Amino acid sequence: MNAKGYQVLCTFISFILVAVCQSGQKIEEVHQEVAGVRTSQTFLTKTTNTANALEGGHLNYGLVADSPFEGILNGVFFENAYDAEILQFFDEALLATDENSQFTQEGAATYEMSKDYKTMTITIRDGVKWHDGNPVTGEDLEFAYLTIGHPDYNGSRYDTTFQNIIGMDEYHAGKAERISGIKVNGNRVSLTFKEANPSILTGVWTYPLHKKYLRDIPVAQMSASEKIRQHPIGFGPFKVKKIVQGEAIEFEAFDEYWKGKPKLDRISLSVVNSTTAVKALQAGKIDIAKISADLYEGTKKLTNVNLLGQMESTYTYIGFKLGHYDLDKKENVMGGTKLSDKRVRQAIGYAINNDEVGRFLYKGLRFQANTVIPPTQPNYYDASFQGYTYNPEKAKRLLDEAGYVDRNGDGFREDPKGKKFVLNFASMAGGDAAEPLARYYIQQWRDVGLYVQLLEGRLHEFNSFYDRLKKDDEKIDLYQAAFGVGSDPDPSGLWARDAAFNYTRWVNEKNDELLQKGVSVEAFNNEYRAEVYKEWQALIKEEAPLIPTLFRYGFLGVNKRVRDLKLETGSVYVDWSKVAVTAEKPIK
Amino acid sequence: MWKFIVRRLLMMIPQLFILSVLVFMMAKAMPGDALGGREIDPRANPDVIEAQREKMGLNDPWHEQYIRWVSNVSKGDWGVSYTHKVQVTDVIEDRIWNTVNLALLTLIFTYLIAIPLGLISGRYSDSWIDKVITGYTYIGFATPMFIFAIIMLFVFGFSLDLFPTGGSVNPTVEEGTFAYVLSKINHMILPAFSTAIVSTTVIIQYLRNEVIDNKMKDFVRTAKAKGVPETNIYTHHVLRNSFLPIAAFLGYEITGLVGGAVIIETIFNYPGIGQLFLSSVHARDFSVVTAVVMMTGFATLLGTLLSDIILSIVDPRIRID
Repeated sequence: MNAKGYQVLCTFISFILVAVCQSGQKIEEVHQEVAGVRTSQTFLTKTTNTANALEGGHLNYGLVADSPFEGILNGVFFENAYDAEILQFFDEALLATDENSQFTQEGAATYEMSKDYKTMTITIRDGVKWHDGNPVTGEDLEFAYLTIGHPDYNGSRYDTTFQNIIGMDEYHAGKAERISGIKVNGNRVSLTFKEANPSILTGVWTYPLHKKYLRDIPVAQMSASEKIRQHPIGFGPFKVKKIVQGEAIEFEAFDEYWKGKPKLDRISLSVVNSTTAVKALQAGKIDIAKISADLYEGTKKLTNVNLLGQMESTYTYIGFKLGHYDLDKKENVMGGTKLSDKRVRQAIGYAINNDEVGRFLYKGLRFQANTVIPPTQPNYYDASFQGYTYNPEKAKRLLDEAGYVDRNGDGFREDPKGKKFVLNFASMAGGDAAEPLARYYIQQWRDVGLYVQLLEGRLHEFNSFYDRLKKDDEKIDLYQAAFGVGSDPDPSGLWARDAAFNYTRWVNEKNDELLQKGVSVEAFNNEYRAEVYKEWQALIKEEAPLIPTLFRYGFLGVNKRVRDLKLETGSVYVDWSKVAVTAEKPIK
Repeated sequence: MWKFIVRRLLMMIPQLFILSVLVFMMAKAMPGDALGGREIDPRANPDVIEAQREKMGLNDPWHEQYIRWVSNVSKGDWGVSYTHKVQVTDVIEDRIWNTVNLALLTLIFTYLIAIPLGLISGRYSDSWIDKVITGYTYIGFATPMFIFAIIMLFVFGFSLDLFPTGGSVNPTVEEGTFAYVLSKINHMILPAFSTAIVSTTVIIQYLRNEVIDNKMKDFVRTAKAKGVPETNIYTHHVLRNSFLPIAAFLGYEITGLVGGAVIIETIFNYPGIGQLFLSSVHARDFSVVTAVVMMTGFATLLGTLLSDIILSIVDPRIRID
């Protein structure tokens, strides 16, 4: 069966299941008020249960996935989001982060920056122990760097923050035994960087790797080793007791956890199919599961489950192909595409009503994005920023000004030379809303007289979509995609002149300058940095290499017997050592 | 007979070769590769990813990759899974026994249902019981498997809570104990039974027709005339002859089951080969995709061979050399 057919099948399955679910219970009509343009809904971010917590207790966590998890259970090696979801229970970073994803002094280690911002000293607290009882040492953190920087390393963590460490290049090339910029002294590690860059404060690697446990395994074989796949060791609140590969994991409380003994005795994690996740929550087979937008409506109706919601650090956008990536020079070059006039791009932005898309198509689970820095970075996000709000008249005016007018009376605009102006719109398949959304946008563009058609008349599969985008397929004029911005506010990875991920291929000197300012030494001052990014956001709006369309929420369905579970901005995961239950069995 | 088997086995070599070329070529023709998914992480360094791609040989033309792959496979090395980062054989081994066990149980259920029902409805054709049974087979024909499986899951898994609703084993039981085996079987009953109850209808009808056919034959009439008791006629004369085509089916059945049942495995969240294949295609995990296709291809060839051999043994009228 092909992928498309499979998707159709899955969708069909979930329809039936939802129908079946509904028949089993009284359906309550929920009238919800939709207010405001921006954040159209607010969601609970923590459990409201205040009943007395049980001593210990056993929690069932449902990992919502349509295939078995891969089971590379280590921060240094995992690739898959499912493995990351598992890791949160038994491993963590040494430095904690605040709501802006910046390091704080609250974690298992504290840190200090030197005056010139080029050296960071991390001090691990006493009493931070691995699950096998050994203390977490500075050498363990160094070992993580030695592994990720190793020429044989087969994961994808080796990025610019690593390359910024002095001596890393030599080590990575195999010319040095150690990394000269990393010094270890007991539980103290100092990292020296080539350049002072404020991204250090959000992006430095602080997951240690258990040296005593793993040192005998060659780096190339580590990710396949039993010690990582069958018997992983971390220093988080729970330790792994047993793994059934790809299906389930049993965790038990780690009594010597540095923040104190966790409240729960056990956590059982098992894979739950997305089509049955809602049903499993309802039947009390699982206490907690991540809920995607497609499952939201079904979960909302359950009386035994609360929904917690949190903004995700992602934005969806309409991008314009403005050039290509020069492989020899390794930089983006503009020119040679249909959408070189920025007024046309702006018009495309004003022509679409994302407020309606969020409210009706996504039922308030997504809402209009006003800018390219999401609200998950409160230091830099500006809620008052005026983005591309729906204004078809303005769109038409801009197109008229640019010389795109309908000359032959067919209802669509021709280009300034009078030639037929056809735009190909590429969009990805996946999820129930993909198809109606693409059709809706196309309709709105046609309403202002732009002849836009779906590239090859259909939606494209994830891999082939990105493959063509990356290779600057000439057939694509505009496309819809999403960017995950991660914890680092520096947008260079997606926007710089030399960034391969800069899929629009937009380059601009002002942009180069602002991006550079954003990572300068001065930018260690948050206010200065916020100003720079404010100016940068205004530039993006004016030049419109892309139109941000939607921000989104992510959800966790939580059984009502669970208490003290809290989602925090800036930190992806929950503090599981605090979570408790107030009844022996899940509430049905 | 032996000549036939040897010839068929020899013929498999070019067949498998052609299959491998086709599979490899098509797998490589899929857009994107196993590292593509990493490239939407803004922090990832494209140069590093490119270097890894180069190291894995993903940039070479497909025929060069193919030759390298074939020479490795001939040494028993199926390569490393790109996403699982372990030997392909290990990945498959993790799942294959789930699939095989599920297939065997399904087969047992299928025949347990089909044989008595087929014989009864054939023997008492046009009676009320025959009508009930054929009625069931028509409903079975018309029932889409995935709807039926979901209803089974809903009723017996969630509402009555009699069976587990996912996975292949309860993670708390100790491996190697009797409880472990029981837990494994417990996880298979619902998916196996759901498949069997629908797929068995074809065999029931087949068997029914055979029985009706046979009971009109001359040798049955002769036996009746000789005064052989009715029951004996059915157990000895009719039954044997009716089983011929059913036995021949067996080889094909096995083939179909080794490939894994994507739908059933997905609905019951049962980690088997079908699920693995699908997720590997999505992740562009070429080494796993090619290995699974080669494996099922081999099973198909072997299954048809088995069917032919069974057929020639049970029915001497069929000559195969």
